[in-house]
Amino acid sequence: MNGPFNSGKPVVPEPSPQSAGASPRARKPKEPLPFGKTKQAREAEKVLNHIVDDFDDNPKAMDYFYDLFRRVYCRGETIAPDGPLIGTTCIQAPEELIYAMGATPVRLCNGSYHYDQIGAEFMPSKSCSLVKATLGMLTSDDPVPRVGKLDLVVNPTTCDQKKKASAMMQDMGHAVFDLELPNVKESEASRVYWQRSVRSFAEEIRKVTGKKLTRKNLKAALARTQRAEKAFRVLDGFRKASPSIFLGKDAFLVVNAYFFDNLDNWCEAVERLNDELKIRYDNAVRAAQKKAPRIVFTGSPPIFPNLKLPLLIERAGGVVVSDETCSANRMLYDMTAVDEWLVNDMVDSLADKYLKPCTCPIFTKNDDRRRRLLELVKKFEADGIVYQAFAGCQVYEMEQRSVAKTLDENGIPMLYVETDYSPDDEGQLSTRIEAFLESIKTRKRMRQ
Amino acid sequence: MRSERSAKGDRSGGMNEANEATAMSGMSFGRGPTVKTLALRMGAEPLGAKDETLTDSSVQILANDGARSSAPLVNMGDASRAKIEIQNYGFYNAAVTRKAVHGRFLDVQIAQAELLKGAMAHGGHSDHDPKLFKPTMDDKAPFELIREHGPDEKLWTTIRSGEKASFLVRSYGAPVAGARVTFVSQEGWRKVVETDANGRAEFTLIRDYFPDWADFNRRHSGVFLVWAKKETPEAGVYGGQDYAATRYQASLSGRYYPSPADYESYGYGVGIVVFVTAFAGLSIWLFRQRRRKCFKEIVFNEKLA
Amino acid sequence: MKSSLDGMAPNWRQRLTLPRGMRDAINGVDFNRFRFWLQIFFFVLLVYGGFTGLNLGNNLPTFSCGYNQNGRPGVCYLLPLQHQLAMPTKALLGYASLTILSGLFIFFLWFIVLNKGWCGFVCPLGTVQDWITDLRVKMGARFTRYSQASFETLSWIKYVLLALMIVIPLGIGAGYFSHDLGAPYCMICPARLIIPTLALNFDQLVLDFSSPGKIVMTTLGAITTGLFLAGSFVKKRFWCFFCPMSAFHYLLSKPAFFRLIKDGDKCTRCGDCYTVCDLQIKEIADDVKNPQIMMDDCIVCLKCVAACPEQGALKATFAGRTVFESTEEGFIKRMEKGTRA
Ligand code: SF4
Ligand code: SF4
Ligand code: SF4
Repeated sequence: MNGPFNSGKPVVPEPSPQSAGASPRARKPKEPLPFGKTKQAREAEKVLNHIVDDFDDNPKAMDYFYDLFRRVYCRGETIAPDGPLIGTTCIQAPEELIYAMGATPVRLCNGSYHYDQIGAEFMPSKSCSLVKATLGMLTSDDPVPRVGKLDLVVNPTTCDQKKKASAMMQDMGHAVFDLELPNVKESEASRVYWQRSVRSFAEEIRKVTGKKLTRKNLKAALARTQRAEKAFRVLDGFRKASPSIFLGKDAFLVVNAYFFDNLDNWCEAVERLNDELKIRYDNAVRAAQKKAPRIVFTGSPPIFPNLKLPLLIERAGGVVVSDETCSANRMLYDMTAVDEWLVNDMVDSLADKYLKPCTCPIFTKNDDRRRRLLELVKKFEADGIVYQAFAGCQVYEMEQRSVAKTLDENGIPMLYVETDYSPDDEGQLSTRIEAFLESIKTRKRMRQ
Repeated sequence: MRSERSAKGDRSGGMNEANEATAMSGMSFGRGPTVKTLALRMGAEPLGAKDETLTDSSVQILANDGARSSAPLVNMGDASRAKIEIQNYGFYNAAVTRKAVHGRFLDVQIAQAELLKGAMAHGGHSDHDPKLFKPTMDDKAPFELIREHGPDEKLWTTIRSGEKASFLVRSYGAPVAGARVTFVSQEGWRKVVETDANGRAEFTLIRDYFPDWADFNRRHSGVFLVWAKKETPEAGVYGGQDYAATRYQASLSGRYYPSPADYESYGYGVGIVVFVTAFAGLSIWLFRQRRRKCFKEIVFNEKLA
Repeated sequence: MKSSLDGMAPNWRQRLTLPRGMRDAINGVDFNRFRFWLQIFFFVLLVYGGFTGLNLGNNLPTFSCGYNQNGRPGVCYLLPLQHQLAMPTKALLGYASLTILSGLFIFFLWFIVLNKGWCGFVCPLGTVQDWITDLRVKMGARFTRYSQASFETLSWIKYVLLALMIVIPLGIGAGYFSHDLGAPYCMICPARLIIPTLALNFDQLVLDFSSPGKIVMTTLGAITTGLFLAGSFVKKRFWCFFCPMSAFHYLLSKPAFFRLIKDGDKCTRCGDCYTVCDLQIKEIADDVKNPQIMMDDCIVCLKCVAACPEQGALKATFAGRTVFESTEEGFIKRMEKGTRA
């Protein structure tokens, strides 16, 4: 039943001609180009223009985000951090602790093809674009987003590639803290182990900022992320509307902005967006065709400017109504519950939030991920799932089988796409996506 | 000293009474009537009292709702016994009266007993009408001796040594002042007082149970005996004999138990609670301290600022 | 909070129950505060209600301690049950069996109304433990958790106590043990010392030297009370974990009206419910298969429902009707209150 959708030939990326030779030049430019002229700026600009101009009727409140990305990615502006800047390479690093002790987190996971090519130097040829791009960004003198000097990089020990990236980042001169994440999340032992890890993480930040973790500052930090999570959940709620009133490409952009934007500004902008969406909802303004296939996106995370796949889906007349990726939903959906508002309890509760609901494929079991997908399909009345696996991301590649099986059992079509950051396979992908969406439409028609 | 003649209802037969379970388990096992056996005895001290017989007599019973009845006093050899069935919960008064003229006096001897169909506090009928908790009094009796009930006395009675016991002497419902009331404990300690204007006499039940600890029984009961006497100028004829004055004497017996103070200690009880709390608290604290060392547990300061 | 498009996928069952506004009000309630006051109400009722002459009988499925002679408005069933079982074996097989069965039946009728909600909301000893917990939080001390292994071992204790509570009185009735061991559970129950004391009746605080049996039992009682005080200071609902009433409840809980239900499909296994659970019940978060999620240690305090962010993943139902369920809005409201406080 799912034959045509998930048995697509693995797309092996063509070794990019520049990847080997070009990087040293990119890393040490003799004469720095004005930022807007750099490769990464042009890459970002192109995608941004596509997102903004090739779709009608973008919500007004999205202008904040379009503008933000233009400023940061195309013009190279800096978002000034409050206090020390702490880079994270994964959503698993509890940012509340960072905020509480007066530092600012920035998520380093990068989506740029340009940096992917630079980072290729560090990794074997068939490795994850995301890890390569992150390394590429960290090694360049003029990284985007312009994160400035990092006071610490927190690297949760998730997949092998990220684990090994730790030492490489250290070699580049960054101070790296390995946040020990267990491989199993079900057992009580792993929970306790993780809570201990998180405690040592807090100690590490204290060393960086020189500030103590107190009930007051931790509560305040929790309140700030709570506001973000609440805004996100409201936004997420609007995506249930059918026909859709909000597109997935914008949703990804909004959540991607959370990586580096000032937290309070981000919250305000999302709240404004929510107000507008409420009006749109009340007036039944549609952002997509009534019959547009509703897609849940899962797998390797789309990170700006690599919004290739979501954009292809929505260009082809589908709507990404929800996702199960760590660059969007998984980052902001889960909320912390605290029983006793004491520092020790708050830290443990936070640790729980970061570990227990996580559907990351690096854990031994993936029951939760499969259940989550089924629930998302139900909740968002989705018609199918697009599964992106970055070529070289073994864990997502390995989970494809079990996820496909579960979805098949539940009669949910899935398109499995193995790809990377290179734009070369766009043509071929767009054909496959169109075929997938077409088959969904046919199914729907048949059912009526 | 001349010997006092007194009669009393004795409950020391314990086993032939149907209420033995109530004190133990707090359950009223007996559904239906409770049967009490009264024995008539005479003597100046509880332990020394001897069985007494009385012919052609009956026990008069007054229920707490005012109902009167009687039960025959049956002679069995040297003893007189009465079997009394009690239907409803509450306190009953039983009395046997003997009259005789001696010289210029009419001696009226009344042997009284307080009977109870009871129920314990827990597991029992705590929903009883508080009216049932009161002693039953007879406004028609020429002379009577009543034990006053304590504030916590409901459908059970526990009198303990060390406590105060008070008695009322009444005649036709009115208090009798100046009656001589004698109280004798099981071991023979005695005290005599006169009733006050309210007809009241009060005694402290002194402790008279001193066994070895190994033999100590918290449910050991002692019998006390109390009697009241009053002479009145009532004159008349009884059994064909004239008399110029009447001497009333009413007796009552009851049971008392060792005082909890003899075997219960607040000091030790509370002491153990405090000790265990402190010890356990300290252990937990030390355990936490130790964990901090051994696992290098990171613990945050809860203080604001 | 702004709409998250409620009612987009209306649930037919919800339509049958309360009107929407009322439901939202209930689901969004500041649950812990509500529960705090409800517990105070029941505490006053069960510890001092007797002073008003209230009488609810002798078969209450909660610690309305019988030794609190004047304050209690009814008696915890464990006390008469142990007394009844200590009747002479012959009586037990005869007329007394009816007494026991009828007592059990009334106990059962009381019980099925609230299920273990008797523990989460009514039991005065449970409430005392919650107050001790509040005190600890005020003092800024953190709580203790059992390790998973200890949890599993200790979890048996309540069944052992329940068994002893039945076997010892039977042994007394059969003449094997002295009556001085009467009501053995009550003798070691911390409620016997604590509840009457709170009603200013200090009679139970004594050590009884009258016989070896009494010495042992009253000493044990004082020890458990000490452990209770120290234990519940560091461990939430310390005693409930060992409580034979809890075990007894669980054995009878199948037909209860009040239930804790989980919709595993909606659960993200975020563990929020587990984090707040006083009884450390892991299944509440991890078990996504079993809709009847009330485990044997559970006290149906519904803290988990209040702390679950997923719409309808956890709920309390009464006779099949939802009375309180987890909602996103309710969760956010409650946690916002926490961060603001
Ligand atoms: S389990 Fe706790 S709340 Fe329930 S009866 Fe026992 S002590 Fe009370
Ligand atoms: S809080 Fe709700 S969603 Fe989270 S684990 Fe518990 S039941 Fe599941
Ligand atoms: S599972 Fe829920 S209802 Fe049961 S004790 Fe834990 S928090 Fe309370």
